[in-house]
Amino acid sequence: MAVAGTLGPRLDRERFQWSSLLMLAPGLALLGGLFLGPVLYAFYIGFTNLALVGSRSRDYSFTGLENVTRMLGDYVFVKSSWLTILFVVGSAIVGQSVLGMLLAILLRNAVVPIRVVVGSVVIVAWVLPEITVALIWYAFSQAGGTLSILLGHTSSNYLVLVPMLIVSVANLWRNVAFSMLVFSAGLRNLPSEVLEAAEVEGASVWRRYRLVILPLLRPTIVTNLLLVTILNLSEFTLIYAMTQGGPGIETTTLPIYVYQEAFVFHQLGYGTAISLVLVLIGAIFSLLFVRASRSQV
Amino acid sequence: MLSEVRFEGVHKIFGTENAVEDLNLTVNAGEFLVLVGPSGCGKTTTLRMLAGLERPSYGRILIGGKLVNNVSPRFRDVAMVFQSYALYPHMNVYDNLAFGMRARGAANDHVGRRVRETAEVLGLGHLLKRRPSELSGGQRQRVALGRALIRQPQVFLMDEPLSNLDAGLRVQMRAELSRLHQRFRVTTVYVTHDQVEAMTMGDRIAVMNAGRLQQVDAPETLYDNPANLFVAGFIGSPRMNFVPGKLTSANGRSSVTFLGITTPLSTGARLTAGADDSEVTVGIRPEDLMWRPAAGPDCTLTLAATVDVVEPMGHEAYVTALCAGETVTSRFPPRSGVRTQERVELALNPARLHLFDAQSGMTILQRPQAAGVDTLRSVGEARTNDSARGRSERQGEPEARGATTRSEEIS
Ligand SMILES: Nc1ncnc2c1ncn2[C@@H]1O[C@H](COP(=O)(O)OP(=O)(O)OP(=O)(O)O)[C@@H](O)[C@H]1O
Ligand SMILES: [Mg+2]
Repeated sequence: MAVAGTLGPRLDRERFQWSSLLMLAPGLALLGGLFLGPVLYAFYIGFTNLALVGSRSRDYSFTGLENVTRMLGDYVFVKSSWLTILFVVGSAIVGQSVLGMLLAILLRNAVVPIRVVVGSVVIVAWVLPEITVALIWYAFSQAGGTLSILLGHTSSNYLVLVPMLIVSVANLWRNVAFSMLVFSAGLRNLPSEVLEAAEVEGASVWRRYRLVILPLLRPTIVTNLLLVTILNLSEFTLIYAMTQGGPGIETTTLPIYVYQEAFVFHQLGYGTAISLVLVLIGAIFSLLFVRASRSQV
Repeated sequence: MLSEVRFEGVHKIFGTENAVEDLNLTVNAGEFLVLVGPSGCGKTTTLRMLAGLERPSYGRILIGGKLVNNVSPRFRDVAMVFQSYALYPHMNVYDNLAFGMRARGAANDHVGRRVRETAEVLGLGHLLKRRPSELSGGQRQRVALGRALIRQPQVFLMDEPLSNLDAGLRVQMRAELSRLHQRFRVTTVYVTHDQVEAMTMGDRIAVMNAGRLQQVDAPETLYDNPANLFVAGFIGSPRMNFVPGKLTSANGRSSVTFLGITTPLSTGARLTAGADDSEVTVGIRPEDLMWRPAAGPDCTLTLAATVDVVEPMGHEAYVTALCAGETVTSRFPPRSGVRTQERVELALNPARLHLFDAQSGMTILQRPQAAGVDTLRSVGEARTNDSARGRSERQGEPEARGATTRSEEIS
């Protein structure tokens, strides 16, 4: 520390060599042309009154904050935003992650045959096309479907009674394999002797998970949350195939609302503006997770 | 509080590999047993079975007279220093040290006091806030050691706990561990590759090779009476010289011929096996093979040799010489002035010879106990003649030798 300043500039500081720009140029061009450009363009469209058909599809103009004010007064948009957050938090962040973690932990301690069978079944659900999953759960929750028989109310259509719940559970059912795989990999990579040390030191199972395993899994957990949030935020196929956003607007999450505004009501500008809100929500969640991952380790 | 540890016919098989084979070993209550052997011989596996981290494939393990085969590590009340340290990477030194006590529900101020005491003893006092990743290798190793020492378990298991420390610190820690053991007499199994640690710290040394226990004895006994070629070659540095020899007998007295000379076996020594004319391996420790001018009157044998390599160590010199076609190492005084290719005379005390069966490698010479061996370090008040049974166990040689029957001094 004492010598700093007397020896000239530090040699171990990271430097950027301008000549490397030449090598980076093709990559930068691709990135700019195929990624940055469209994103900025979409951002611009979000502040116009562009329509899919009709005169506004040619003579659209920049309308400033008009789309934003419209959104704030739009009852469907507000409800749709809450539904989206509910869907992401309930189905993805809590449901999928917690269940995925539990499955990973149980399978880790299970004997080989059980591990193989359960693991395969869960992964099959994930490999099934979304449209198939939608069909299965649609049939499952209809009046006279398996669920109504199981619950003893054969005349109840649960997709009408509790649509958001059914859609969330269907989504959870399909996606839990993803979190399970991520957590299984994380658990497998934990340093086994560290866990053994905790055991020899007399820590109970609960204590080992709380004080050693989960803290060590922290980076894995954050990565999982980030991916799961981003993937589920834009979930469209499953919900649309099951309910088309209905009944009423009970399951109209933002991606479905975007679709309806842009392609059903031809309001391309407004639809894009809504999708920008989706991006914003995603960014906020991501920021929170990245923050959480930094505060320790 | 003092607990005996006992392995009864314990095997551990990994796939097709026998990591530990038919281990029969008793660690007396309050004893400090050092476990040595070449890399991969099963030392860590033995410790892990004792800690409950590995289930024995066959056999029984008892701690304090209680069968623990199916007791989980949590309830065995052992403290282990892992060869790889296994520190909690996300906790600072303080929390690493405190983890075990907290897990056992110790009060916070008590934990704090013990952590500070232990850290002080190990020279970690100024590092309590650091994470393991911010420590040097030797500092990490001391944390690993501290994590065990902070507790008062029934048994300490230490897997090369000082291997990464510098020479000075190692001497200091060695003394510290010995002092702690003197004070609390917790039964300890201590794995090391360091001959000095083995000889100075252990009440007894257990030598393993390729999964098999070779010999368990007090350090001096092991050194003076190795049970077989492996132990003879493994204990002692530089290594014992082995040269081929032949047994003969003339008018009731056995003699051995080696390196071109023939000598009768010393009085008091007794052959336990080996017929006339049988091939033997003669073992000579480098310090028993001396430079003629420096040798005492006991060294009645003289060998002519040509110096090959001289390795000055400071306080002495190792001289590798060619003698009757065999390469032998001997310990010379420092500044003897001998040079490569010089002809020298080596002197040998015939009473110090070791004889092994050339085929089986087992010792065939029963030598009288060297004076002073009986007055060994104290091994604890719990040691009675009965518990000293474990003093001399040897695989495949159930017949006990003198060491088992000699009386123990209790101090
Ligand atoms: N989990 C395992 N699976 C398969 N083989 C193993 C396993 N653990 C140890 N072994 C094998 O068992 C033998 C004994 O290993 P162990 O770790 O006990 O050796 P060690 O005496 O501690 O050696 P070192 O002095 O190098 O630490 C080795 O040959 C090793 O390859
Ligand atoms: Mg080992």
